[in-house]
Order: sequence, then C-alpha cells, then structure tokens
Amino acid sequence: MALRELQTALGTIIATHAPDLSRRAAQRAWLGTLDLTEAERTWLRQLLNTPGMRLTCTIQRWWRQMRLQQTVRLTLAALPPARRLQVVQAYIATVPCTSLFFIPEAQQFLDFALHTVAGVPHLDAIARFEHALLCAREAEDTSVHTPPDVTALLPSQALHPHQAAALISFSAPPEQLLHALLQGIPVPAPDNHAYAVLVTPRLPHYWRPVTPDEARLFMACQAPTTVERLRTVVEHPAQPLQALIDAGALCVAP
Amino acid sequence: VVHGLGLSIGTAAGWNADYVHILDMLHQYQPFFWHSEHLGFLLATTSDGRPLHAGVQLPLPFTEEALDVVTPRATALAARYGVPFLLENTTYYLPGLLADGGRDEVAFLNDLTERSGCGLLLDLYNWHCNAVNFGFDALEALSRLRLDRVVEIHVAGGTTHDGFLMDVHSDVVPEAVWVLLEWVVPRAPHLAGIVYELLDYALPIVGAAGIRRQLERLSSIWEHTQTVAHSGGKYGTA
Repeated sequence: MALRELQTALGTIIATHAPDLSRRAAQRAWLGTLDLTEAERTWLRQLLNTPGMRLTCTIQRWWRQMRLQQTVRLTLAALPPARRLQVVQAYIATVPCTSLFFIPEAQQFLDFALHTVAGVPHLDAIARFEHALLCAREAEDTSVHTPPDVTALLPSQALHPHQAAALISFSAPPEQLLHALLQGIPVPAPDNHAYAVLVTPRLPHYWRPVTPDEARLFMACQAPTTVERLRTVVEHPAQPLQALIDAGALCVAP
Repeated sequence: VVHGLGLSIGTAAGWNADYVHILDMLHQYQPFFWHSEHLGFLLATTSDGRPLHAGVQLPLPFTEEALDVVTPRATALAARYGVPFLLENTTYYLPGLLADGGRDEVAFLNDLTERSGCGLLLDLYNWHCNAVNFGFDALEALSRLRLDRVVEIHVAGGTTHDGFLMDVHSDVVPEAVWVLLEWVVPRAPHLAGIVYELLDYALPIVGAAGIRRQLERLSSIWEHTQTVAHSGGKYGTA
C-alpha cells in the first residue's frame, strides 16, 4: 500500500470537499485515477458520504474561520454585517489552507479581500493597514536599537525602507475610523483629505500618523536613493528623516 | 514543555521541515523537559506533486507502513533535543480506518512506543471521544495500552455536533473522563504531568470557579496517587 497516495487522496478530499453531489461524483471518478489498492479506493469512496467526513471538512473550515476572527478584526468590522460571513466563506472555498499559523491565514484573507471586495468604504485602506500591522508584528525585533544620527550620515549613503514598514493612506481620520470599527459604531464618511499613517515593527502598537514631509521622504525611499537625493525631496529633511530612522521605517545601508 | 500541532509527523512525503526549524530555534532559546506532537498528518502532496495542507489533523491508518514512517522520526526527535518525545493520540471522525494484521489504535500505539522509544501523551478526552463516536469500551481499550509509556495526560471537555462528540476544549471535563483518569493515573508509573485544556474563547463558558474546580480535582487525583503509588517516574513532575 502506498501511504503517500492515500494521504494525497484524503488531503485533497478534505481540501476540496463540496456538499453538492456533482462535485462528489467528480471526486469519486478522480479516486479511480490514483495508484491505490482496491480496498483503499473503496474506503475513500465510502468516506465521501459519511457524517464523519462532513464533520472533518467542517472542522477545517471552523478553524480557518476562527483564525480570521481573531486576526483580521478590523477588516471584518469594515465589511457590512450581511457580507462578513459571505466573504469569509468565499475565501475559504477559494483559497486553500496553507498553514495552521494565524498570520499566514490572515494575510491570505486580506489579499483575497483586497482583490475581490469592492464598494465598501475604507475597506482597502483598512485591509492594507491590518496586513501591514501583521507584517510588523511578525518582524518585531526586541533587540536594542541605536539609530544613526542623520547629521553624521554621508551624502552618498543609501537608505531603504524596512521590509516590514508601510505607509497607509486613509480617507478619514484614522483614530476616528479605528475607534468606530472597534466600537461597532458608524464609521466617518470618506473625505477629500489623505490621512497617512506609518506602520513599522518598532513603533508602539506598530503605527502612528506621519507628517507630510515624513510621508514624502518615505515614499522617495521606495526606490534606491541617497541622503543627498532626499535633500531635494523636502526643504528641511533632517528632522523628518531622523524621525523615520528612529521609528525603524528607514534603514541606512552599510 | 513544548506541545506542537504542525509537525505532520505522519506525512509519507516528509514532515514539516519549517516546523522542525522553529523547534530548533525554540530549543536554543529555551530548552524544554520534553516535547510532544499529535499523531497524524496535515501535509500531503497533490497528484502532480504540489504541497497540500489539509488544514486539520488527519488520522493515520493502523498499518505497518505508517509505523515505518513515524517510528524513525519519533526516535530522531528525541535524539535531536536530548529529551523525551511524546506522541498524542487524537480524535478522528473518519470511520473504518484502514489497518493491517488486525491492528487497532491501541496496538498501533503500543507498537509505535515500543519500536521508537517515544513516550505517550495520553489525551483521555480524545480517547473518550473516539470510544463514544465509534462505540468501543474506553476502559477495556486502556487496559490494553502500554501505560508505562505515558508521560503526560490531557483532559478536556467539548460538545456534540452532528452526532459526534468533538475535541474542542470548550467545557468542563465530563464524568466519564474523570473515571478514566482515576483509573489510569495509579497505573502510569512514569506520568509526570496532567493538563486541563481549555480554549480561550471558552473561558466565559467554564468560568474561573469552574476552572478552579477542574484543577482542584486534578490535584486531588494526582496527590492521592503520589502518596500511594509513585512519584512522577523517571521524568520527575511538572
């Protein structure tokens, strides 16, 4: 008996199990193509219709849903209540499970929501913000950080953004928006202003609002750049640049 | 102690190497007295060789081939960290698991612990769930188990769904599991720890007083056994 083939069959059935009979018929036919013994094939075909198989598939979906409820609270809160479950179910049916860890599941869901959900105010910014928070949390480094002094940097020194740093732009005051989402009260309407926040692993709670100069400098560093070049981006770069370096958003190349 | 869920020790195509890497890092950071994993598999490969994650712990068949996959890995894990490695019996819902040589779960666990030298994390709630769901006598099955391999015990409570008693750690320990625990503890000479498992979302369901009652009853069983039978065996107590 080939345990590997048996596990392929069982894993695939769990991952793709569908309650409708047409899919089950397809699964039964697919089992015929695998290198299984007749006893294994018979067992797997019988399993398809058992309450135990249904429950096993349901448990997988429960766990995935539970992981999302704990990790992407803001994004779920930004969805209209009537659409929350619908989006989660569509995600689980569409995107295969790749990990039992909470953060990879959350990041997959946020990518899915960003690509598939339209017409929900603030959703794009909230999903990007929550994604950035998760990345920052994953990258958190508790070692002592001694940021370099900007005034001591050479003009030719290169700067680049920290891999887990992000700049997110909201279309409503972020504190008001996040408060509303967490409290379950109506969110502020989008306005014509851009409210940028910085997310990095070194910030308290991983984020804070940024000034327009900080935002411009951070964006300028998305492409390879030098200290000298940044002096042309804003009029007085020293203070905002130091603030970005202190926050761990920008790193000085060695 | 470290208790894992993601190793996929029973995957014929290879266990979760990333997970072992995490264990390596953890062991460097904080050595542990023993570590444990669930006996089953999560990872597989698709027909065309791509990785596949089941997303839920799946049972192994009770076969020689499955033993051949798990045994050397269990032995290797104990050697890797220089501390006992335990495997936990799981709850499963798939009927008629394949077996060879008339081997059932008890015989499989006995063969595995005997051949690999690994210990057993005996989850009595999982044991109870399987007994209820598949209609076997839990005590009779325990009486055939190598209890000298038991190093840790888990107890929990759960709910019933679609006719199945489920392993969800959401309630107080049912009386039937207390009976199993009282029977096993004096017969497990190397038992070094008992854990009451409860998911965080179930804290309001059980409540602080409920949790305290579970722990007091566990302590009482443990202390009674300490005075009459053994003292934690070769692993000490935790």
